[in-house]
Parts: sequence; C-alpha cells; structure tokens
Amino acid sequence: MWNRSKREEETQARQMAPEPAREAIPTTTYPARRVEEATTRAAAVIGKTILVKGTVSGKEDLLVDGRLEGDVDLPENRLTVGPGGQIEGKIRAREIVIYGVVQGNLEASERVEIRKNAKVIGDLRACRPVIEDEAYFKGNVETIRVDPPKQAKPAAAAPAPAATLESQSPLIVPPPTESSRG
Amino acid sequence: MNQAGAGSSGLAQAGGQGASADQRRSHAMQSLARHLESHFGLQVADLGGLNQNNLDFVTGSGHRLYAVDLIVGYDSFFSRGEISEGKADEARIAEFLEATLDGTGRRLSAVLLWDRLQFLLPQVALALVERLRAVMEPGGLLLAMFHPESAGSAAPLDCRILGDSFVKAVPRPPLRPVERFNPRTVERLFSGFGSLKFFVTRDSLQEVLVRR
Repeated sequence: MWNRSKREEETQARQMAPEPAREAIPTTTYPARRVEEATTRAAAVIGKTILVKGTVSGKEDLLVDGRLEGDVDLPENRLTVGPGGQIEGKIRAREIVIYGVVQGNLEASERVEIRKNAKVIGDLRACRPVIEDEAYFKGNVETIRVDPPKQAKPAAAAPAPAATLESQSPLIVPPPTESSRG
Repeated sequence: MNQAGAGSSGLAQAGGQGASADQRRSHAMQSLARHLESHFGLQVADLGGLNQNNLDFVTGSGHRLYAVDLIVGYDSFFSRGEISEGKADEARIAEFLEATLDGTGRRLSAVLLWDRLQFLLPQVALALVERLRAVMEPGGLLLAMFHPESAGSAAPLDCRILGDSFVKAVPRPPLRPVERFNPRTVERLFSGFGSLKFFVTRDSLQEVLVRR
C-alpha cells in the first residue's frame, strides 16, 4: 500500500475524481454485507407490490421482492429472492440466493444459498448447495459434478462439457430393478 | 468419496461453537456410513430436516438426498384437536404420508429417521413405518433413535452427521410429549423389516439400525 507506483496513484485519482454524468464506481474491494450485496448487485428488481404471471428470462441479475407466478430462466446470472419475495415456478440461474419463499425446482450451475427463515419446497440441483440453520427445505438435493478439464486429444471430435449433472453422468448407478434386488 | 472432508469440517464447526458435549459416537451411523460408502448414486432420506452437515455428507458421497422435517410437516398438517385427542383417521394419515414422502422420486436406500417417531401419534408412527417399508428397497437401512422409556417429554433432536461415526445431537426446544417405546415395542414396530439391531450407547438414547 505504501509502495504504490506513481502510475497507480494517478489511476486511482482519476477514478475518484467527480464525474457527475457517470455512475459511481465502487472503489473498495471488500465484500459488502450480505443483504446489501444481494440488493445492490441485482440489476433488475421486481418490487414488493409487483405481481408477475409468466416466464421471466434475461441476461442480467434479478432481485424478486414481490410475487412471481411462473418460471425464471437466467442461465448466466444471479437470482435473489428477497425476504418478501415469493416465486411459484421453476428457477434456472447461475446463482440462486433465497431469503423468501420458493415453490418449484431450482437449478444453478454454480451455487444455491437458502438463507435463514427462507422456505423452499422443490428439488434442488447445484454445484454448491448451501443451507443456513432455520431455513426450511423440502425436496431432493443433487450436486452437480464439475469434471476436471481433460487433456484434449487430437482425434477428439468435440470437447467434453465443463459441468455435467450427476443424473446425466455415466457414473450414476440407476436404481435397481425388481430382478436385481436381493 | 468425500466423507472425510465433510466429517472434518463438521467437527471443526462443532468445536468452534463449543458444543462438543452434544457430539456422540454413533455405531448405528458408522454402519450406515459404511453402507453409503460401498455404493454410489443411492437415494437417501433425512426426515429430520435439511442441514448443511448432512447435505455435505450424503451428496459428497455421491448420493441424492431427500429432506423433509417430519415435525414441521406434522404440526402444520394435523390440527391441535387431532393431536391432543389422539385421533387421526386413516384417510388423514394417508394424506399426511403422501404429502411428506411424495417427493422422494425413487425407492429409498437409506432413511435417517432420528428420534422423530416418538413425537408422532402412535397410529401415525405405525403408518409411517409401514410406508417407509413400502418405499425402501430391500437391503436398505433405516436409522432411528429413541429417548428413554422414562421420558415423559423431550425436545426433538437436531442431528448432524460429523463424519463416519459421529453425530451431533442438539435438543431443539420446545419440549414435546414423547410416545414411549421399549425394545419389545420397537421390535414389534419394525416387525415387517428384515432385521433390527440395537446399539448400546453411553447415554440413555437408544440407537436402532433396521435393515429392510
């Protein structure tokens, strides 16, 4: 910190100079408080008094603090269900963080966090599922396995996908049939 | 297999909270963990509700976890009158069991029932055991715990798996009346199953491992 070069100082000074026409750029790299982060990172908001019926899809983060009756599809982004938020439908997103109520299946390519006092009824598939104490969950949990990157062979026609669902993996053992049960 | 990881993190967590007195060596859990270790892709049910330790332990071993809090479901389904009078008709019980176990999807290979049976009406407990027998696959294991026969009331235990053979069992208030079971009534309750094994523990909590 004390040995910063002059160029770095100039760069930071430029960033901190007042530019009223632009949006403020956060200068700190420290993580904000959890709820604040969830709120500020959401580019789009469904507010407390809003009711949406139908599918919601897009390519930006979303905070739902109202009621949503329908599926959510944000494969590259983060969905936050705020403390007052309620969703009835399937959710697919990169990250899902729930403080409110969700009735429907959840699928996240990265993580799902079910926070204290949240209520979730549905199946959950995620790379990293996290559940806090005093959260209510009813349903199945499956983790998505991320296969380590393989050395590409010259003859290989197509590269292996980065992440595969456990249920799609050839390693999965199917439930035994009547004939195989002992 | 990721049990070591799940276990060590769990032990560290418990240690950090200074709640080591709640940790117990569980031989029933040890047997069940061995069963889980030797298979892959099983369907496991945790009827004590979902917590991070159990989630990590089960899914980290490559299995699928179905979780539901039996007590929460029971309290919200049955009216106070039904519970206090001890009256719940067959249709209501069947409806409750359907709502509780409808999401399992596959036949169950292992069930973590913990101490939940004792907080249900006897006819509900009996019907639940029958239903579990029907949805479990042969060879599947069920772990149950029973508070001592002398206990008139107890708080349901919040049970967390801390590795292959340790469980952290923390009472979750409020106290509730418990149905009393002795070894003979437990045997009778699980008479439709293949085998039953009692484990002696230091405290008075009785552990039972039942094989379908």
